[in-house]
Amino acid sequence: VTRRRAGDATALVVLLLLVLSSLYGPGAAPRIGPLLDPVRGIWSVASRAELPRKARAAIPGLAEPVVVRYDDRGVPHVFAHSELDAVRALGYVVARDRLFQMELQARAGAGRLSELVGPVALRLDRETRELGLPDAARRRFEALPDSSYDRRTLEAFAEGVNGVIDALGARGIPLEYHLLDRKPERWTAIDGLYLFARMGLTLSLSNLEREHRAMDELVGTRASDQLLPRESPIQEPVQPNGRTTPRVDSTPLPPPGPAVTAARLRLFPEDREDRDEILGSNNWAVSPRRTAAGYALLAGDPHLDLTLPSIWYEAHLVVPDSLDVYGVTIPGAPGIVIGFTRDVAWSATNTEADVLDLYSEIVDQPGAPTRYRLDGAWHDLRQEVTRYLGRHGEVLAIDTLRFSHRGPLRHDPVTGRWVSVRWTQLEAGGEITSFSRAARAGSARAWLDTMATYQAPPQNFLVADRQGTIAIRSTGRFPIRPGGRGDEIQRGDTSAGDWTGDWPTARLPQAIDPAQGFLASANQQPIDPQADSGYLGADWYSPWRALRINQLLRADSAVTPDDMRRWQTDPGSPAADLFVPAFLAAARRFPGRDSLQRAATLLSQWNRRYTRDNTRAVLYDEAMRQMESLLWDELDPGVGPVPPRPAQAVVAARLLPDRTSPWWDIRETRPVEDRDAVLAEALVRALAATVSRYGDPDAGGWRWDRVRFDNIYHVLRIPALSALRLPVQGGPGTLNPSSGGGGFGPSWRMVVELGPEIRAWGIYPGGQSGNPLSRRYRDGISKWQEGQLDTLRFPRRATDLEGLVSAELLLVPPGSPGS
Amino acid sequence: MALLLLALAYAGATWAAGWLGVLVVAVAWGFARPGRAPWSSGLAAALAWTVLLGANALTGPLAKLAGILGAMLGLPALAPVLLTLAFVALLGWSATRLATAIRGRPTT
Repeated sequence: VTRRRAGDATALVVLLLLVLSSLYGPGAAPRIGPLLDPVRGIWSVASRAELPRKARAAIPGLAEPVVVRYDDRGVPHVFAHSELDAVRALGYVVARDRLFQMELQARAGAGRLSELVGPVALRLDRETRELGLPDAARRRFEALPDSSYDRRTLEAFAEGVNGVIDALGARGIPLEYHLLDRKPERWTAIDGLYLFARMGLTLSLSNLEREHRAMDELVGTRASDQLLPRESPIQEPVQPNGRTTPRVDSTPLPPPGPAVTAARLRLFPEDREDRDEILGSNNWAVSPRRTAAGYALLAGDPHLDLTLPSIWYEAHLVVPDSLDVYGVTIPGAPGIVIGFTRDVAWSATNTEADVLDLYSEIVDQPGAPTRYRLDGAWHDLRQEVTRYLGRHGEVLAIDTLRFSHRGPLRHDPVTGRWVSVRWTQLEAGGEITSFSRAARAGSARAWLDTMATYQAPPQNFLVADRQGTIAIRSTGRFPIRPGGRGDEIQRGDTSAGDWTGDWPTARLPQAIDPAQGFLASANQQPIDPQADSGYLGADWYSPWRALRINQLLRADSAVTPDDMRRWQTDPGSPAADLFVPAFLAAARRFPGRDSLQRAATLLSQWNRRYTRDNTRAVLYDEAMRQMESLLWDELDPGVGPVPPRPAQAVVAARLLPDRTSPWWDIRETRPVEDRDAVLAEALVRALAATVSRYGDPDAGGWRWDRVRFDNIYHVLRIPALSALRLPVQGGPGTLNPSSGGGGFGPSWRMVVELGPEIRAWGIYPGGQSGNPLSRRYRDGISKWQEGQLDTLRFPRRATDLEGLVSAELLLVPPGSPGS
Repeated sequence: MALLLLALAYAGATWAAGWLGVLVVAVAWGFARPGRAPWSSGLAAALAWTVLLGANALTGPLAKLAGILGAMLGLPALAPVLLTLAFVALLGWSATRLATAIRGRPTT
């Protein structure tokens, strides 16, 4: 009897544990019973890994049937009878493949991520809301008239997405929802705007003011002005300046000066603290007279976060006599962002302009302000109480958001001051209309004209057409500041510091059919200050990629599409071309140091190309790190966060000719070092560090593909769903850049030849499906790693895909026979 | 035979009501057939879910999914499958045993 009772007691405990963990879930983990259920739980995902060969679905709002044919690469070709039906179908096909990613990104833009993933996202949600992004999206949406193109497009897209969600059933829920124990939320029209907000955060949030002040604090304003220069020391601008070689600024750098003791701002604590981790993009186009076939060529290569699923989704939309556009969309955006039509092709790089300013405000109550001072009068702050919810609806935090007429008001925890943010991203609009009209443009000039209404985030849009025109324009809204620059904090108590207008379109950096026969952009300073010294930004991205593209384009007057493809992963490094000889020359000045001579011999064996199998780039890379550490020791406060550094060795390059600049001196040593002493010391230290980390130079450990990897993380950063430690050709500053944690890089490589029939090739590091079990989840990665491109199918009619169709989908209005 | 029929009931109940269906069938079985060993209920439940998992395996890459889930847990691919079957077996056994105890075991 005792044994039986003990057995019953055990059963009771086991049952309670199982039932409670199935009803409530252990801690943050999902509820076990629903999770393991083989019919509706996570195991059911296996049966939905691939799209069915044939399917039919009804979408509310659809006016006429839409035929969707997926080609052999899983790309949907949408054949509709109206543009809004095409957008509905786009919403449907993207949601079918990428539903979780869409919701994740929209929630990120809405500052509601913690409702999906828990408190781990609270900091990001707070930042998003404090920056006013969801508020701006809501206000923008509310201002859209019911009949406006933007609203109707957003609503049509939402109808398509919800067509998938409503028909999902328990067995169709994507894997990630099971892991998070959540169900998909219905898509709303405004979600598309939250997504744009999210992209704005990624592409145009810069805090030059903070970096500038942090440097002022250490080396004084005169020096910091040159360390974060308004004018890039090496000029190879987006708008050609008529030169056949780069223009190099060789004026000496001002010495470190007395510190400015004002405390630094910490408004955006996450902002660009690791300056090795850089975004960046390339694009270039070649006029017919410089191509082998006599047709214009365009290459697009936007660099963004590398994620699985990829940030891009390929699609082709066809509406007879109206629209025929192929390219990539961001899941959740109701149109093609980068791509081509029968007439034009386009791509974009980030302009990196300064479109955000900070204003130090005088407020009535520093603890909880309700008013701010402007032009001698008090003005009410707009206030909004906002709640951050967790996964189960619990309140994680409550904040009061405040807005001045300029934008959101943020509190700097270091100084206790209140600073308002004015940012073009918060005042943007019309991007959907712009992209839609651009997709119907018949020429490069018409394409640029239609994009004149585009505001943010600013992009260098490059476009080419079948008539042979190539053109580029830094497109967006670029504010004019009364003080002439925007990298310093403005006084908020006077409207005299407010923006006075925007750069007119005619003044924007741009070029159409330049004499040189090619155009290129790679986030470099867009216009040579000798051509226009107006303030567009400061601390520009290093020009290394721009230098290399221009170098390659100048050297080839019979460019082929395959050249364009090869250049996208070109391993050449203009930075190495500059610094390696300097290191070797420095080593020759100290012939007696054995370790230095050994390091120099090893470095001299490098051909300055970041190929996978080379075994010397690792030494150069480390030598550059050591050199920057020694060179910029004045910028190391010794405590606190990572100090700001001049960008990517370009300011160091300006210092190279100045052998005795005080910047070269190492503060902690008694003798005064010059350039060669620092370069030599860096090389010696680099050899020791590299041997210590990777072993002897020729033992195999120095191979570039054993030390440098790209890492494509799943959007929830789950390693099992990620593609990690991928060796790639390229290094810091090459056209296929690989730096920092390897989490950023080429996100969509495209080459388009604009001949009588458009020919196009492309690849992205991922696959069309967001289902990790699908064979299309990561089927593009190996080709992407190798620098290969797929041929893109561009059928005029659905029947043109015969023999290449992997799946078919018929979308019909509700109530249609069989729907 | 009774074991197979019970497994069938478990499979049907899972299809209709998920893991709660298992609980209901296990309790009902304990009340209806108190003379049966409760472990056989657990065995039948595991058998039912094995069949359901097998159905998923026939229509999709279940092994790949098991591998992913195993990797997330730092365990071999088989572990999530065994965990699933252990869950349902324990659920079936414990619920049946308690139901039997409440119902009162037949005297022998």
